[in-house]
Formats: sequence, structure tokens, C-alpha cells
Amino acid sequence: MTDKSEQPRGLPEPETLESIEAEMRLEAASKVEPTLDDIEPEFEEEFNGDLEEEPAVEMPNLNPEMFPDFIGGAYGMIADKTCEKWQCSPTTEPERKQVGALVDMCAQRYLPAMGRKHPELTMLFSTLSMAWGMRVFEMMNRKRSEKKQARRDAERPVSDVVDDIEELEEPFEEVQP
Amino acid sequence: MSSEKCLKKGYLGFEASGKTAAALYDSKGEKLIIRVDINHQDSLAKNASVIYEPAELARVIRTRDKRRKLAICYRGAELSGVTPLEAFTLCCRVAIAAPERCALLADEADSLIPKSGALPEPIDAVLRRGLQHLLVPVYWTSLRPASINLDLRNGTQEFKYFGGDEPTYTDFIKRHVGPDAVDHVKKLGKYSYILKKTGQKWQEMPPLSI
Repeated sequence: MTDKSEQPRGLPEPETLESIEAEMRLEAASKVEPTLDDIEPEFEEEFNGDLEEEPAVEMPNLNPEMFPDFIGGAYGMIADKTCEKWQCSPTTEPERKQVGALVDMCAQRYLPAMGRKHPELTMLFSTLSMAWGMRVFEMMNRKRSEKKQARRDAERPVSDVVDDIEELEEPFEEVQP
Repeated sequence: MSSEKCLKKGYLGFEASGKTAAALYDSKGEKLIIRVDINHQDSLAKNASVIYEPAELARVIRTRDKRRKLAICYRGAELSGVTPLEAFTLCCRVAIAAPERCALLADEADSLIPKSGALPEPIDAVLRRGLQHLLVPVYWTSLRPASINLDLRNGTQEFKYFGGDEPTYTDFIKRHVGPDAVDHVKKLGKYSYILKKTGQKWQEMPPLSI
């Protein structure tokens, strides 16, 4: 007897797989997943040490081609998102490595969410070393100081900016009628 | 191998004694089984679909090809904020709701179900009424027999005790199997076990050929 169609009397109406699935989807939709903005302060706190004292870490060159297509695709997707977030478009090999490391860090932070969508990534990323975070921090520091500089420039008094412009610009030549 | 009976089978023993391997071996005959994995045991994911999303668990079972066997390794307790008890409760709900016989393999059952206290209704249903009404066989393992939920323990019809010489383990065997079984259990090698069925005397079994 393997069919459950005959339910015993006196028991409540059984759930269906459809209703469980719908309930779980609703529950999942109501949960807020972490964003890069959420984890940024964690980076800052975690790597708020002396960068100079840390030995240089050799980062492996992760080539998505080494992995099956779907992992490569997911990896590329995260890399794109990361570049978008940090407004960078890596062109040189060191830059690509830095972004790769940042992606790895993000992936580690995202493991629960990542794992649900791509279980294989969990295993892949869990093997990566957290030490790469130092390089990531260097890149984030650079980006952050650029942002701070931009903000400082924006907050400078108008008179200072005008002075700067006057220093830079040559005096107008008088136009003869 | 699993039969048409809806039994609960317990596998007890120390780490690497072969209890999970034996549970997997015995459950190979199940056409549909959910292996509840909270400790990332690679062996539980072998030849199984690994699922993390609760909704996916229900969907995969609902849309499965009923002509084929399906083993699912459910790791839902990895989700933030989901406890092992909640994950196991969902597995029980899905197993009950499945239109056909759906077995459960509860690895490290003492981590999934509290020893005492009120249980969520689906777990209660599987533990208490399983044999009579619900076709939800349960294969469970544990290395802490004293921490096993009493409903689960009392409702289990077949125990396999693997090797171990830790005092709490041997005390448990002394009380639940018999004083004469203790020395045998202490000497058991990997994959060797003694079998104890309800109402029968224990018997030493040859090692599993896994």
C-alpha cells in the first residue's frame, strides 16, 4: 500500500504540496535579504587594521571557465554587480584580481542567499581564503577616499572654489570694438 | 531494505561507526525520501538533489517524475533564522502532504527534535501516528541516545547499535538492550552492529558491505 488517497476518518483535512509551496514562497518573499550596503560596515569593521603590516597575499586567478557554465554565469553576474556597485570597470589584470577578490568576499557574506540559489557556489566559495579581503579593503579604501574627496569638494565654500577657478583661468582679453 | 511497512528505524553509535551509512543503505529502497541534513554530511547529498529553499522542497516533490526514485538532501536549516526543528517540521509537513509514501531520514535526530516538550503538529503526527495512518517511514541516526525524543524512541521498531564504548552509550545499551549486549557493542568494528527489534532479543549482525 503506497497510496495515501484513503485518509483515515476523524483527522483534519491534510495539507497539499501546493499550499505548502505557496506558503513558503510568501514567507520567503517577506524576508529581507542583505544588500551590499548592509555588509559594507562589516567590511570596514573587520578590516580596520594596519594594512602595511600585513604580508602581501597572492590571489588565485579564478577563471569561470574552470567551472561549469552555470557557476561561471553566476560568478560573472556577481562580478558585474560588484563592478556596478563600486563603479569600476577593471581592464588590467591586477584590477580584475581585485574585483575577483571583492566578489569572493561578497559571495562569502552572501553564502546563505547564494547557497539557496546555487548550492554549488557554496562549496566553491567556502574554499576561498578570507585573507584576500586585505586587497579588497585596499580597493574599497581607494574608492572611499575618492568619494570623501568628492564630498569635501562639494562642501567647500563657493568663494574658495571661485578663487581656485580664478587662479586657474587666464584673465579675459579685452576685446577691442 | 525498506518494505511496504512503515517502520521507524534507529541507528545509534559513535562518530564514523557507520550509522549514517547504514541508514542510507537501508533507505535505498525508498522511492521517495527526504534526507534532513543540518551538518553538511557529504554522504547525505550523494545521489540526491540538494535543496535549500523550503518552497523548492514542496515544488520538487510535487512535480517529480513519479516513475523514478527521488532522494532529496534538504539543507533548509542553513537559512538565516531557520532552526533545525523548523526545518524538520517542514520536512514532516511535506512528507505527510506527498500523495505517495515519502520517507524521512533524520540524521543526528537529537539535533532536530527536542527530547521532551510539545512538538509541532506535523512532527507529532509522524512520530505518533505514523505507523497507523501516515505513510512516513523514518530512518534516524544519533550518537547521543539519551537525548533522543521519547516519542521517536518509543515509536521505533528497529534499532541498530554500532560500536562505541563511551559510558553513557553503554549504559543506554545496558538498560534498553540488555547487559549482555554491552561487551559486544564495545568490540564492534566499523559497519558492524547489533540488531534489536521490538519484542525480540538482540542479535549480532555481520558487518555491512558498503
